[in-house]
Amino acid sequence: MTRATPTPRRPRAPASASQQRLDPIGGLAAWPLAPVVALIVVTYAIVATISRMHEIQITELAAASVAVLMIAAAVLVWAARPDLAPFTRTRAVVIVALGLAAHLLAAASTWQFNGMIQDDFAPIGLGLLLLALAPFRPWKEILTLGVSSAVVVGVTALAQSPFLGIQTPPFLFAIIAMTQVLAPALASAAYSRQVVNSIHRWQTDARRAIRARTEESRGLLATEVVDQRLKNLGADVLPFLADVLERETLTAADIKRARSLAFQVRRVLVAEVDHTWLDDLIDRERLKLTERGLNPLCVIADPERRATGFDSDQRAAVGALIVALCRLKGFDPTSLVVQIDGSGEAPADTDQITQAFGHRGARPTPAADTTTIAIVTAAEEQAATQAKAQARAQAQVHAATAPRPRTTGLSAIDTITIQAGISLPPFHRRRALRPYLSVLRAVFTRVRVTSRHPLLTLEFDAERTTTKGIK
Amino acid sequence: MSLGLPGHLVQLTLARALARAAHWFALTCLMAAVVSVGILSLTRSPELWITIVVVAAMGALLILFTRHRRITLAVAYLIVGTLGVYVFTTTVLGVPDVFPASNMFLVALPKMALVMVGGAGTTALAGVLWSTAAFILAETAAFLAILGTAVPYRPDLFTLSTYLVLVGVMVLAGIDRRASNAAQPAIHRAVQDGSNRQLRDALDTRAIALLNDTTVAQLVALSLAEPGALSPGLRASLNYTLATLHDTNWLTDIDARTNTAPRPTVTGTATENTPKSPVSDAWLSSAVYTAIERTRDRGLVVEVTGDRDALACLDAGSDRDVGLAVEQCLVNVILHAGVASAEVAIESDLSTISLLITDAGRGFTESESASDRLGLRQSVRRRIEQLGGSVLIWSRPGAGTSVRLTVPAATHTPTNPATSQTARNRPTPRNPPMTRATPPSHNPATPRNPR
Repeated sequence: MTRATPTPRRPRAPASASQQRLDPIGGLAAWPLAPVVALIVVTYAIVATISRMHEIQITELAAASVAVLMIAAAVLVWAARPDLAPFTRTRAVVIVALGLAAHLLAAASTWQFNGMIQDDFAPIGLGLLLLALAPFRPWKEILTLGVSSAVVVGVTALAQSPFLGIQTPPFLFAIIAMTQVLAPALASAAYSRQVVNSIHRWQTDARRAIRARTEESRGLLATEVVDQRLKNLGADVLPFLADVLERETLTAADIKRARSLAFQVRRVLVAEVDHTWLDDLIDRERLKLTERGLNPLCVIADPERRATGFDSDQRAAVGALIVALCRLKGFDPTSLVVQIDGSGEAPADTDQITQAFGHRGARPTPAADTTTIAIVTAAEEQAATQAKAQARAQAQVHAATAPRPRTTGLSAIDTITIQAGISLPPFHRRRALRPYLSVLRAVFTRVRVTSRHPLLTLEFDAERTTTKGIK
Repeated sequence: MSLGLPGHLVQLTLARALARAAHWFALTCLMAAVVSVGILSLTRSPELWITIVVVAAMGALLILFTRHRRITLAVAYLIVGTLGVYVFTTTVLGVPDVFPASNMFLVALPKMALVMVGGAGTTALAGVLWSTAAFILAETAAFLAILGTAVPYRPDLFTLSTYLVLVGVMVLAGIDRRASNAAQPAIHRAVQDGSNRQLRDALDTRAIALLNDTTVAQLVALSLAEPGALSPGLRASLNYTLATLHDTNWLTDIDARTNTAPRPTVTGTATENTPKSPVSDAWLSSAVYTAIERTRDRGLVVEVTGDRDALACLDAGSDRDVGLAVEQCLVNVILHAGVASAEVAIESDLSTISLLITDAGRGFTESESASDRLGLRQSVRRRIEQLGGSVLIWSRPGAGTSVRLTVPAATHTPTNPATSQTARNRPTPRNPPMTRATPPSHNPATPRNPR
């Protein structure tokens, strides 16, 4: 239940949190850092190699070193791309490992002939690569990678110390080399930690404020719900009951009427119970599109009511995306199709009756009796039927063609497909939807975007570990 | 998590994080400098001790500045840092026969630390100005110092590139986010909408349950009645239904009651429940009692056994919902079971309260219940699940029906009146999934005699 908790204590940000994960849109803004850093690293490596040609003994190794560092920079640019978010730990480790490999190759290429440690390009390059991880990875990981890289760099410097041009204690070289890695790495970790804490603190406060705002509207919502319920009850039921009470007698016609009214009311209530948040959302958008003078036709195909298994973040991400799609210039109001299917059990939200007498193996009743819920404006019922059939056909095609990921244990995967026709140039479309997609990538897995002009298809997976009802 | 920072907080947050990063960069440089000159002064030139003092002073000021972020401290850091750079450069490069030129990384360390003062600027422009000032001061001090030594001057690319990278990052942080201004509020709105919808769903669930209890049940009762004069039971229930529905506050009322303080818990003597003990107030004021009374009014014989006072462990809201759920179960007995009696057994342990509603009536099968699933589904199951409880149903045609409602109890400490309120926020105990549940200890087809 949503109830404001009075505890003022702020929970700590999870250890795996990064700026990109917590604030995907902010992470989006930080992405240019990666190509800039990559460019600096590569340029510096090339310039430093050329200017130290006289120290290089094995040119192939030096070339290989620069090449590996270039690969590391390329991986960084690739890994930070917003459409490939989130930036995983593997990517970070690969980048740093490549940087270290470049460092070892460079040290080997000038073995015994390195004049000075401080003008080696690899430690600085490595430090810059670690710096670029700041918006994408948690601080502890950056710190660990930084310290371990510094140790490797320090050890190589110690190993080279007998052959260097300057006569000082060997530890000094190690310190110089390590500082070149550690200073940017610590700065990167400090940035990551501070940003994550700030965002997390804000999120905690914002959620509290949202809860408080919701609580404030409780009275209003309750009145609305009551009004709507009484309206749905129809003008018939209450007068009928009052009439019977007043007459104090029951006629056969009354009994018949009571039966039919009971049936009607129950049918309405059952339909209401099967309504999900997604239906509500689409209903509202449809209303807004109608207000704009359009003829909307939006189809939801969620036969197993899988939408009920989404958590609040996932609901918000999908909701914001659908709203954004509907308000986009060039959106075709008849084209929106939202479909949810998947593997594993649907979220348990329906009656389950155990029959324990007679046979032991009790089993739950099948899920809700509705197959496909498609709601449309009253004027377009026929079109709706068509669309419904279309959606069902699409669902069948999808079910037949899409590979179903196998799941084990309690986990289930819901696949959400959103299709919309948007007649906008691809560039504008991408730019308008980028922030929403970045949020989607933070809360769902495997976000795929395919586009066959003007049709845009978004597909993404939601993993559920437990099956829960209304949350 | 999708709630990103709103536009007005972005600059401040990024500025703070950059300041933190800059301070750590500077601290690392200063620490490296201290350790390096420490090693040098131990092994080669004892006169280097002065540089340790200088760098330590810079470090101390930097830490002070990090803590308090005052302009005076920044200025002090700049002044001490400039002097420090001068002393450090003169002393280190003054060590004979070690350094071939002035552009040593070791010499650049305090300068890089000084440039980092700019990271503390609250805006990108201020940051750039601070670090430019620091850069110019540091380079001037170093140049003057180098002139006084025998080492040839070479431009220091380390400090220059550090300065450029810092300025670049600050500018990047300063100009970002223009493109995604619209999306962040949209996400925020979506979260708020989701929250509202969730509350609405909860209210709807309750409303539908209540409508089902009253209206549908009433209509079904009428459709099953014989033509002729209304029986007293029917009249009473019709009155009740109409009164409930006409009262426009039926939903808010429940809600208001949920928020009120829980009823005082029963005293220790009353929890020792025996059939002969005086009937306590807790039981008489509970909604379960009211529900049972109401169905008794409609002609059902209800036998209550077990620990009645355990119901005092429920707070007002839970009590009301459990009462409504029990009433729905009993109404089902009236409507469907074809018998005139039922039994309600109340059990409790430390963490849960269970109510077992048993009849020896017709019973039903799954397929029959599917058409009539709203009552059990909405009025009983959803209600109880909203309280964090669980519902188990055993039934077979001809063998009666048992429904067991289990709800979490508030921790029973009579000295603390706020306990049942906190219980709502507590994680509710997980009940075993019903497919693995064991049937009740007795056969519901043959109701047990009351104790």
